[in-house]
Amino acid sequence: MRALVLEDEDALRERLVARLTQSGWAVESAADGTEGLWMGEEYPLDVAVVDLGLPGIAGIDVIRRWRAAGRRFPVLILTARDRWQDKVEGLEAGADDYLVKPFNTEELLARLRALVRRAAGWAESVLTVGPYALDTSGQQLRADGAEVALTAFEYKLVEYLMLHAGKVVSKTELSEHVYAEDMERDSNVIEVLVGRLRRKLDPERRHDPIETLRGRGYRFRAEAPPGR
Amino acid sequence: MNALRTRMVVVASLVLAAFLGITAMALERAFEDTGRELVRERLLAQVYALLAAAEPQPDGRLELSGLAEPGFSLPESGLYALVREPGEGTPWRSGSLLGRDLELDAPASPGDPRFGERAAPWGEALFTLSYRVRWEFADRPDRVLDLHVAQSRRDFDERVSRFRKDLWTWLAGLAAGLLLAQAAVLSWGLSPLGRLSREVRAIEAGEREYLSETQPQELRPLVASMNQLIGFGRRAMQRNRNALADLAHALKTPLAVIRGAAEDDTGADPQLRRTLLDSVARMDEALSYWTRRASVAGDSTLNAPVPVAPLLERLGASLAKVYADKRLALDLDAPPHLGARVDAGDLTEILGNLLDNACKWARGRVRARASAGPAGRGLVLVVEDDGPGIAAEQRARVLERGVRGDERVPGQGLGLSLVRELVAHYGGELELGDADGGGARVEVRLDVRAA
Repeated sequence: MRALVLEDEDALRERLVARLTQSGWAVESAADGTEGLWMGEEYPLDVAVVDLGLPGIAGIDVIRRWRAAGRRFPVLILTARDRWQDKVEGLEAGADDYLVKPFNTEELLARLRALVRRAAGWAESVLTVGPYALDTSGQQLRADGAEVALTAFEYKLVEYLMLHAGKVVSKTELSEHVYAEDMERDSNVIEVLVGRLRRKLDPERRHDPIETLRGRGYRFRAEAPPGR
Repeated sequence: MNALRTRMVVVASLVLAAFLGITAMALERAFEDTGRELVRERLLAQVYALLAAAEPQPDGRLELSGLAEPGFSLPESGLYALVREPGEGTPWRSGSLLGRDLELDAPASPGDPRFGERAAPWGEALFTLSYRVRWEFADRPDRVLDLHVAQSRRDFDERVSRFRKDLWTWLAGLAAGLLLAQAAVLSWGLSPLGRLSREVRAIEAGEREYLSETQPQELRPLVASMNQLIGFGRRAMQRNRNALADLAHALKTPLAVIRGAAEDDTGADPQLRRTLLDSVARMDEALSYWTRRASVAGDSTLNAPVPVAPLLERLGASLAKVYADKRLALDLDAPPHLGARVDAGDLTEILGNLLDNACKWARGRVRARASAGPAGRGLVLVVEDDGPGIAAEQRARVLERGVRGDERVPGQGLGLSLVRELVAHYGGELELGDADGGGARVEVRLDVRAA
């Protein structure tokens, strides 16, 4: 998942970037509204964390302009202002959630995961697709009730595929959302990793959860997941 | 005497009374003087008539022949005459005197008529005129004759009193007319003030925001100043809030850094981390509490009316986003035209906190109702959820500052106590109770104008 952290306080921004990276996010960051606005318009983001008191363009205007430009990724507002007028104004500008400073980092991570999941159309924190159950808060995958041991990168892949279960995800899209840096993107590596993931998810080749659609990408095979 | 109208009416009435009184006295006096002058001239004419008719006889008698005036011969006609000859007696008296006598002063010198008033011995008030003539004869010594003519005052007094009556009737009519005209002028002249005070009441009632600019020239500076004052009050509150928000922003970001550091740095002394986190939490709470409390506008007559239904809708839409995972059924109900004279920020804060609390605890349903209190006085807000509710013995405690009903739900502590503070600011009441079928019910009654 690719997140943007838009925060002008260096110490806070660096800490957030570190924590998000550590929890498996691909993170972009910016310290002022102008750069943040551009990143939100250009990058394939899954979520953005926006501080409202930004230099350059105010956070709330950045959100408004993203929405006006048709950018739909969820936005979480970080704000020192805890009056309801400010919260409502932020949410009406197009944000999806808010967190008042100082905040608990774990709570921020949980909220971001929930926003991404909700944006993909899932209401529950456990994504159930056929025999597979992905617990997004515990970052754990079960197949027919048994835990599947995954590397951090494999988890990122399966999470993205399951979030968009039933939809075709191109290799480019997949690499954009799971890799932190452009240069690491290599479709061969993705193919190798998806192959390994298939063996882990379906060692007995009964379910064939990840379809390959030649020239188009992958699709997590599923009857329509609940809540979609 | 404090009312402009009373002052003006009293002063104008006094001036009017003095003016009319003096006018009446002057007119009366002028009328009397003229009347008296006429009487005098008439009496003088009678004297001349007597003189013309008099023929002194050589034997000392006096004969008057061919007197045209019949009044002299009718008894008690009110017109009397007699001729005296000093030292000699009364050679002639008019028939109207019939056995009566008149004591009259002798005029000082011949040819000088002496006009006066006196009461006759029989009680009649008279005007008198005396005239002395020296009658010169060629063949005998001169005779000095005093001619006295008197006329009853009766006619004169009647005429004067008729005039006085007419005069006062007219003046009273005039006074009434002038007073009416004055009342009309006053109410027309003062009507802008009445309109202005109605506008001020309309501002208080929340029906308008500012005074209208179309005022008489004299009121324009006042109205402009008042509008400026109203605007200033509103802007001052906004500046105050902005400053507080900036303060909160300036302090909370570093607090967030400290908190993040204390949470993440697993290598540090656990005791130190706990102390840091506790202190940060305390500072955060105090900062939130005091900045939010200080930005309470409170009850002010300058508050513009806040439409309640749209505010409820906006908060509902915002909370529906935040609590999207709970898929709550938000049932919001406010009369479409309900407006409350509260500061918009304060009402947003009250409703926001109540709804947020309800959403936090609700299992599936939140209800909020807003209505005007009885007789348009007061705003009643009821927020209910279907959560676990608040136990009766807990209710007093959760309203205390910073006490959380449940430590597991962060940010819970300040909400209700802040709402209670806000409500107290408006002289209102907050009541915790049970919703139908369990869950918490919060009822807030604000003592503000709502309609």
